[in-house]
Amino acid sequence: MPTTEDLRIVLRELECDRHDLAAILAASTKASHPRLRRRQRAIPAVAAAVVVLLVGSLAYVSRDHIDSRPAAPVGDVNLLDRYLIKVGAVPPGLEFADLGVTTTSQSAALMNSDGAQLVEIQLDRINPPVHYEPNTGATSISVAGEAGYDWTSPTYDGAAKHQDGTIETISWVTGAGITFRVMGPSAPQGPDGRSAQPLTHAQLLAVADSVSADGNRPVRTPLDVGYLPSGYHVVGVSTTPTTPGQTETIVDVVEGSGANVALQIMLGTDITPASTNDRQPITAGAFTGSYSPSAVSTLLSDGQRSIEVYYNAGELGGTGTGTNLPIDEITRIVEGLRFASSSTDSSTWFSAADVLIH
Amino acid sequence: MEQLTPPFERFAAQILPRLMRFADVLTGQHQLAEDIVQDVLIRTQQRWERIGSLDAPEAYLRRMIVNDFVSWRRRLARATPTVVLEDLDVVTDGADFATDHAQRDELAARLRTLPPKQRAAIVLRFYVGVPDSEIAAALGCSEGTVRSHISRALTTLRVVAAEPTFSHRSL
Repeated sequence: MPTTEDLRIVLRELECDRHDLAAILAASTKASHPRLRRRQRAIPAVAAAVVVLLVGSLAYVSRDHIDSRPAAPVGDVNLLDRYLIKVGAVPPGLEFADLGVTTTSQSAALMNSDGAQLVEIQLDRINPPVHYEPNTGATSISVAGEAGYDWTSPTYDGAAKHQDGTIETISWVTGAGITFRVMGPSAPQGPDGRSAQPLTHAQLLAVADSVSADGNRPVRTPLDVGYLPSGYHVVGVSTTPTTPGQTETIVDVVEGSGANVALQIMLGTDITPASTNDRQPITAGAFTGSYSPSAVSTLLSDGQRSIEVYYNAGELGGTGTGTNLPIDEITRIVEGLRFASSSTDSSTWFSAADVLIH
Repeated sequence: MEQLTPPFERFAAQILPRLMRFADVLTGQHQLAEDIVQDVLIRTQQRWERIGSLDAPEAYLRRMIVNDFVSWRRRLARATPTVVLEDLDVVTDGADFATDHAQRDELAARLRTLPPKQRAAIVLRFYVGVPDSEIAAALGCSEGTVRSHISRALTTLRVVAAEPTFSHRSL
């Protein structure tokens, strides 16, 4: 069983000394570099487009219009909501758990009662699977290059499942162009570090055989986001079991097409909010961590669950700016959160009857 | 008058080898690593007056690299990482070379399957060795989320944690 020290060694081995550092440096420091020229040309063009859009929008958008727009439940906002992982044959003693859904991927797990993940299942609309070469016994990447990948390639058309004997991963691409990976840890551990009996190879194959994409089920998220400021949208939701009986659901929100997460809404079970405000109304608290300057948190009426909203008030590394949303907007977002009431799926994490206190 | 902000070129030349190594490990793709680092340096040059005056500009650039790596736009344009196993020059203590080699090959293969944020968290924790607070800042998430990312990644990697991987603040 590899240890974290092995992991450190493997990571160090990924270093590469074959780069032409002088060329990279020269390209990065010359103002005449083609990429910089493209950027310089693009900025005025983008700015002009933004001005046109803003002028055009002002005629239609007023504060009243923004405030009265309909609620935007998480499941309706730009999420992967057509293809969902369905496992037809869950081995006895295990439970199915959704781990997260984004615009392009979903992951789920089969867990035992201790919270140990015995199988992880990934659904991916972007990345092709790692491919096992039976003739050479080597693991290789099935598709090289970034562009022009043909999802309808005969190699991967249909639902032929492929066993990767090296990493105990079974991966295949369906005719609809989505990739499934089913991974069975050889020595799974729960969050508390206790080992769990892994599935046998035959059990793992049986799970893989029963995996399908079920387009009829709703996205199972415990929260509806009733209000988001104009221009903001949800890009991902994940629910992660942390320790037995505890979970964290995280809703990532970006502004426009931004790459940075501008807002992060976290629902935790049995977790004390970072800003201690025991059973008090929503307040702005000084987040003691170093991630963001601000966070809003509230403890739910049952005393066992909390909601925290983290937001970036500053730049996060150069690819975008923070939200700079005023506290009253953050508060409105929190007040707009509701437990999902439309889902009757028994595997929904939380009771829809609960409400927030304000 | 002495310049308070060191010239960008000198700064870039000094940190470039470290940034490239970090980007290599983070992305697992040499070409993508070069692309990201070059892009980040260009953006840094444009805003050098501000970035150069930061307390830890290198850490800031590392965050920019991580942001680029996990960004949705790049993810949409990226296929599965393409580092080949032959690139790995496994170092072992000689006790059981074959077992160690196979074990680390497996580990490297599993590393490629991690989602970008989980991989970034693993690289920052176990390669760069920065605290969770800095990882959280780089990934734009809370420290609790960092620990969740690492816990999930270690489960996928099937690595035995030699140190605690999850210690929620309220526990």
